[in-house]
Amino acid sequence: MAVIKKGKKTLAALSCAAMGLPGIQVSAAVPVAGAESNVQYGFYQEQGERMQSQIFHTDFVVPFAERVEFTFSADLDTYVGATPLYSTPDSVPDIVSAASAEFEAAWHMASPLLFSDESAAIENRIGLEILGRELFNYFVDPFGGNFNIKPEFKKEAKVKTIEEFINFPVAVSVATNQVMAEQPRESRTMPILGTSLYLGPVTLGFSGGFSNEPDFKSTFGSTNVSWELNNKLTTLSAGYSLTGNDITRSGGHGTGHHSGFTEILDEKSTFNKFHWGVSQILSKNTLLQVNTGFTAQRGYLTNPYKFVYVRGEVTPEEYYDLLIDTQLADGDWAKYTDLEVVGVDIFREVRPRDRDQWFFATQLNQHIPALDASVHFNYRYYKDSWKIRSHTFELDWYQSLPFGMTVTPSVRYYSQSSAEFFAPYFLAPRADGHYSSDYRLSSYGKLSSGLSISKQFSKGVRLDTGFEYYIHKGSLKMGGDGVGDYADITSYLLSASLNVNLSNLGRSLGSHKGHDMHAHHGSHPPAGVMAGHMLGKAGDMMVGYQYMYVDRAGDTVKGMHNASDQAIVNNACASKQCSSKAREMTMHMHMFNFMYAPTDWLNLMLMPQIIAMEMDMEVLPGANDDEAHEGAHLSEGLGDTLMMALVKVFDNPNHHLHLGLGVSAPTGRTDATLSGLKETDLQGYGMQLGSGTWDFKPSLTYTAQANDWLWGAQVSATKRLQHRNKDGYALGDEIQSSIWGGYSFLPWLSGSVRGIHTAQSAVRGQYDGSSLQSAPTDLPENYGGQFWDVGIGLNVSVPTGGLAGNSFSVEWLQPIKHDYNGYQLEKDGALSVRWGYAF
Amino acid sequence: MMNSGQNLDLTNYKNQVLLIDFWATWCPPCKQSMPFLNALRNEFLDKGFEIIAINVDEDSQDAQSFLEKYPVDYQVAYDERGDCPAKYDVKAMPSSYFIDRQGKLRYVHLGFRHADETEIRTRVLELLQESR
Amino acid sequence: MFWNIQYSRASLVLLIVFSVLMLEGCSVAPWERGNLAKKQMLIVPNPNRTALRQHVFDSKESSQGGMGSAGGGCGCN
Repeated sequence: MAVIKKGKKTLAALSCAAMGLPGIQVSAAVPVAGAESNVQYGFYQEQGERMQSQIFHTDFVVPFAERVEFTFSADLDTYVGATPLYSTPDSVPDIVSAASAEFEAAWHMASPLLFSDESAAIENRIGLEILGRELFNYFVDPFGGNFNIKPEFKKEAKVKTIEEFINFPVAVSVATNQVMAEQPRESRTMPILGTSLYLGPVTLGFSGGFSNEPDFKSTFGSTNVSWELNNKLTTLSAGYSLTGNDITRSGGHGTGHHSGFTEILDEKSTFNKFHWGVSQILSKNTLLQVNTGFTAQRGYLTNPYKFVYVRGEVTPEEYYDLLIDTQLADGDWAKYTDLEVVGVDIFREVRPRDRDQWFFATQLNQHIPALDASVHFNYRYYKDSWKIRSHTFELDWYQSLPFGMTVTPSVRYYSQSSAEFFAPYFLAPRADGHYSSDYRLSSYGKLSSGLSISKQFSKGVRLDTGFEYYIHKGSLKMGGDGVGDYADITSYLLSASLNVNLSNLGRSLGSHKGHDMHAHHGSHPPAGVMAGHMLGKAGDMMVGYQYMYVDRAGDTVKGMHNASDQAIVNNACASKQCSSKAREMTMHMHMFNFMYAPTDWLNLMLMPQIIAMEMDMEVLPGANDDEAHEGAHLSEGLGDTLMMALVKVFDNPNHHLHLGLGVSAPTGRTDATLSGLKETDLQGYGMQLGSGTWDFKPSLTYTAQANDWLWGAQVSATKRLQHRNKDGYALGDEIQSSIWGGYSFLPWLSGSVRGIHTAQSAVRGQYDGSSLQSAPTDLPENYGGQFWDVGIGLNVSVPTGGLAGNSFSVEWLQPIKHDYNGYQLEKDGALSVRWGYAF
Repeated sequence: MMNSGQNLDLTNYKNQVLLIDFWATWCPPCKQSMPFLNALRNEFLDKGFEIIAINVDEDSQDAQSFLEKYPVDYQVAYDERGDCPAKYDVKAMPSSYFIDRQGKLRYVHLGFRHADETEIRTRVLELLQESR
Repeated sequence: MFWNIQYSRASLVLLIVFSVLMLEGCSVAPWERGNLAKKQMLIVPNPNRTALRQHVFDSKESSQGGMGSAGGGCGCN
């Protein structure tokens, strides 16, 4: 029959994909047709210098036996920035905060009056000036010459002074002032495993995982079931999940976020969550969904980093009794209050130990055939036993456009009423002892608008990008009784994700370009060789993931010989004595690889990476303890991003030569500090996530194969294109040469042996910012050197069949000789694991 | 049944075993079944076996674009309005209706999974072995 | 503690809604599900973006829950 070409949109990627993510049960009655993978990046920023967060996510869905699906996902969040610590009436800015400089000054000036029986004339006078002239006249003997307090009024005077000091007047209309604290850079990791079983009309899902961040560890598991009825027009679903949390704090690195009043915290909480719902197809173009759920939270639900201002919890007499001989921080406050004291009238917040939450939500999807668009309208009502009530309305318009694009504008309105125990500050204690000034529990409204753009590429690759802007305002609360505008804030979220469909569907339906080219066993160099493989034909693409693990442990070595601790102390830290050294350092690198061949002889490659490093330090004998830093230091986040063009110089079935021209963009941070707070002592150069400079990375790669033998060689270099990065230093240039040989035992399996020589120069320049310089890793001269390694690897390459196009390789690098610059912790070895899928 | 204005007449297939397959581009199991059905049809064509696939996409252009990329050798008919599946009382997607040499409907197979391939093959063979 | 009157009320509403919808007999034939099978008609068309936004909302707001459940789609066997 006649075929009419219309140049319309390509058919949208098919819909029956299930993703098992925590708390979401979204599935249709069939598993995915072929494996799928997603990579997503999110960036969240609050206005000003407040919270900034980066969220990295990846997941895989793999079908099995047409009835089962396995899902795996991993998330890494890093966050840093200022958050509100507590809020006070605006009358006397910050004088009440025990951590403020103004408080220190005022308290010191007032304390001779309060705490000594002697008087020092000038200081007393100044102290009284702060406290008020009335006091001066009331308590002081003007004829005593030195303005002593009349003896009979000593205690009363002191108590009154304290009272005047802490009970400053608060007018009804006074504004609220937020005091901020710096959140040190921290990261959270969350892996989740799941499985779905498709048993006819019933689908069962199970998933479990954990989430780890320095002070909060959470383990969770969930199960859900859905049942299709009524000729698949109605779906009932239900689910249950259990979460256990461990909240800890061990004192931290000192200043700022973990303030001087920290106590050890070791608490737990448990969440039990049930939900169920029904979804009903109302017409060819309409779907309605209704669901409801209940969560019971028990245990420690307080945020240990939030404080509250409570007047009257500790009376002036009680302050007098306690302070007369002791410092504020050392006082035994338990006699006077159950709350934890962190300042004058400043306490750590306390939330109830239980919370029952309930929600009811409904969503309507309406398709508009004339426009090829769908509208989603969503409403949720929420209430809980803390007396918070909220309404959420969201409207999304999914508009299909030509060239496989979908544009989705959206708008959302959220309004909540405050928790019963919330107030910006408390002018009297509460009977139930619950307090919070966390603005997230206050009455406010939040309006947001967003836009999302999705493009489906013909090869089963989809790119999604999105932007959403949030306006949080007290005045936006439904009904208008918001908490005021002191906590108003705006923020935005940027996201980008790539979805790759690894289905073999296309292949098996015949007439598809021969991908057997990629299945050259042996045309893949060992796992540790970067940019060693090129795609064969124009239009080809490849996605891949590479994991590298580097372990350094054992002795600290100078040049080629082990160094004794004494030698390190004396020599490794330049002008002063070292007080600590690294005991073990591990690095995990996760690299995501995207390659595209615009022509037969050119490949373009993009490789972002995520790095997680941990370094354990130990104190050297006889060290100066003030500067010794012991324990583990972490550094996690986005590394530098490599962009490379690969140019085929020569290619025949037996020999291949290509040139790589790469540029590394400095997307990795170079200012990681020991405490996580900005502008404090920096970590060693080796713990920074990137080089900080634009780097040129050329390489020349030769690969060959004949019969079952394969061999190759590569020379690659890294040349820093900038003299210094923004933190004042530059890593050394590097040249690496490697040569390998291998043999194919089976058509799809080969082994390789490789020899590598690396020469790297030391770090140039040094940190502009502060660095303790108390361990060898803090000094630029202790980096670089010459290294000889031997690599042993295995490579699996699938030429045909359901998994065609996949390749998998592993390589272990064993150091055999080294000549380190300065003093360095020796390298034990490195493991590379690489997976690629070409299509 | 409509086919670009040309009606499909089942009497042309007398004395043949016919498999009528209802499919759509928005149905992944339908598409997964096509290579198997194509191979099955080619294998038994000379024994008197034929497949007619009735596409129920509301816009048959979608199906035609799909078939350009992934063609099949058997006849495809288009029924955008859905009269045909209604007549056959189609209960699931995909559905395969097995019609014997006498023109009688013998068996209906609902849905498709690769595990069903053996059973479908057996049924076709059985019907082929029956005398005319 | 786990069960209260609002909870019972909502469950009752759900039950009524469900029964009404089932009895209504709004019938969409299996071959008419083309539009419902489109990605834009899924309850959660983009699970990763939804999860990311939900993560931001859960951190910055006091409400939880309401995520999509199963249903709709192609209804394939």
